[in-house]
Amino acid sequence: MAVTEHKTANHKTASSVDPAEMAHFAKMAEDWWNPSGKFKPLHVMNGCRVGYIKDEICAHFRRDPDEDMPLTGLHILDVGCGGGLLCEPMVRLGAQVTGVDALEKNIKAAQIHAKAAGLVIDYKYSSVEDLLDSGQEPYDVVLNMEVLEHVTDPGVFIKTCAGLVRNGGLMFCSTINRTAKAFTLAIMGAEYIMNWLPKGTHQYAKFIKPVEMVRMLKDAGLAPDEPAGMTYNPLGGSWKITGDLGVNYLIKAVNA
Amino acid sequence: MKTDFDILVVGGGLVGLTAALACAQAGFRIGVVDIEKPSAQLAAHHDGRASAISVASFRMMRALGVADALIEKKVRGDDTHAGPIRKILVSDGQAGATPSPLTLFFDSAQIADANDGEPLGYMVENRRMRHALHAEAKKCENITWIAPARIKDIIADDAKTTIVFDDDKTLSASLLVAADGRNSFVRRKAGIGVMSWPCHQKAIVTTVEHELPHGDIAHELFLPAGPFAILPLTGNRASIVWTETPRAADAAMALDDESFAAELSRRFGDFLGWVKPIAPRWCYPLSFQHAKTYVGERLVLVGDAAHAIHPIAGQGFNMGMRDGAALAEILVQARAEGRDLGDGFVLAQFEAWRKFDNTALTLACDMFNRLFSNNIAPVKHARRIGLSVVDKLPPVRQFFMKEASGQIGDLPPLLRGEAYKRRGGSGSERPGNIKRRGGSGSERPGNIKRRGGSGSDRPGGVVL
Repeated sequence: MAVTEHKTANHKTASSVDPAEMAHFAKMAEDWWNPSGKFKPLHVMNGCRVGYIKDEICAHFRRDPDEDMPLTGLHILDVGCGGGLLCEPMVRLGAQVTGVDALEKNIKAAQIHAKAAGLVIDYKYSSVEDLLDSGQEPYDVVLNMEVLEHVTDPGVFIKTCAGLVRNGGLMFCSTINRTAKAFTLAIMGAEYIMNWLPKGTHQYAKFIKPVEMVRMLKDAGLAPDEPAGMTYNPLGGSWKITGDLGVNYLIKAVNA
Repeated sequence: MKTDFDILVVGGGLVGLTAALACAQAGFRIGVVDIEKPSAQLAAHHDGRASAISVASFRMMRALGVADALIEKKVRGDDTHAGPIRKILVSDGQAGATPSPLTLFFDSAQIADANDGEPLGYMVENRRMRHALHAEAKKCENITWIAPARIKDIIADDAKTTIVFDDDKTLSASLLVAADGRNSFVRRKAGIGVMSWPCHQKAIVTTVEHELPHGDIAHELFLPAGPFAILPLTGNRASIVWTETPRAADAAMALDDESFAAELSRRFGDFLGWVKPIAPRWCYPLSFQHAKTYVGERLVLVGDAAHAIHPIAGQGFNMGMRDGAALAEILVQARAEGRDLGDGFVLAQFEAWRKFDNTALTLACDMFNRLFSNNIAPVKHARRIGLSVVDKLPPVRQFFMKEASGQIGDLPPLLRGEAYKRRGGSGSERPGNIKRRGGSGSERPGNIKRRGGSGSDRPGGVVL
């Protein structure tokens, strides 16, 4: 990495930061937050999953979901936060949010966007293992959304994350079911036919069946709820919480 | 990011105030910016027009708590201010001659199911509506008037949009709503172009008193120079919209009262007995205008700032109300999902929902007007037959009526008469039609339409 000293009218960048690289991260932040860009599917899905998470948190912690900032006072960890698509709404709903991602470029992009939007979010370039080892205080809520299908050993990963949930706290997981329907829609449909996602985004073998998910959560010492399906309606172009677990689904678990 | 307001509405006219009220009652912090003091807008001479309020729009007025002031004053001995339209009679004609026998007749009784027995719509004088909206807005603690104020600049960034006033004071919000009319300053400032095409017509508007009761019937008489509408107000009064070529309109405006009344009578015929103008005359040039996009950076256009149409079908204000209702619904949803109120996703939803609807209506009104505003023999013949054919086909006629009463398309909750659970502001909790916003975001509005075909931006008309 080139080490340069760069000054602009407004700020002085740290000497270890290459301005060309910063421009690259800014471009990435733009990509993450472009509602019609390559992360469009996430933007479209986001309202549905945020709504589900908010309602479940409110029910669990006895908050009124119709309040302005119903999540005020809760500490939330978003694992695999990417560009911050989930962190920012959580902050707007009142929560104090930490986002971790194993890719430094994602953290940089997320920081740039949050700063421009005037939001305070604690973004860390870290793995969950390192976060746990650092003696981090556990959180009220840990979010594991659209992450498990990308990790090598989801069971171990969930155990590590469970260590970051306080007693009485919640963990949310969402992923894709390992069914023929999921293969057709999430891989053939989304990656090859609609080109919503880059080819190779998902590997079928890494999809997780709800029963496996429930077992992993129990093995991690958590008490999982019934999973809920999240279904795309191609006509309205929108997502809905349904009972259909065939493709995308979410699950909540309590650290009882 | 804490902004001064959630939403800044530029333009405190009918559409701007309706949007402001809808959003305020949903709990958003609203600033209304206008170049005039609110009191100036309430002056009697400010606006001589009356608007046809469709049944759906009137339900929204009810949900907003505004309808009471328009219709139920009778209880306290005052006049009611909303004249019901129970029937619409459309005919083709010529000044001084009896209307063609081939006519089109709409009766609200024929769509009673869809209407809950309500009329097709109501005629309300704009000034009455303004009074009712102002009174309701005053009750909302979360509406702040910034008026009179002149805007110098508007700066949008990733966190907020900021209005710079000409005294260099600034105010910020998450979203700016441009409701500043046909010549929208905000729209021009944002560099959003318009497609416009003139109709080579002017509308003369006035109020008349007439001898015989109008029976709550609206008459649309198609004269060669343009439509002549007699719209039933309360009592033995009617609002007149007389469309003419610019030259003839200017000439009519220059007439003394007596000659003007004589010209009116020639067009009216004698079915209402004698006719007497009882208000000043206003004259408005007509044109169609449609913004190329309804959204900019942290900006949405509503009402005439987005789409100005011919008054032929009485749909202009109703379109503006739908804009406000749709916007409020999208913003309530966005808040429940923790979205930034001005982010691209919210803007895209608004554009998708409103543009298709408005484009279709604008073009339909233009075609309707072109079809009727001429004296070409075959066209005249065809349209007369067309009118009577539509009249003979109940399903077609019912479709027209439902469209006119604003019940076609995706209706946001406000237009179905469902109020938001009031938050913030002191707006009194009104029992009855309060809809509790249930489990929030998990149910996405399935009614976001994709934009119509790519050609929808480019109608055949003149593009300026």
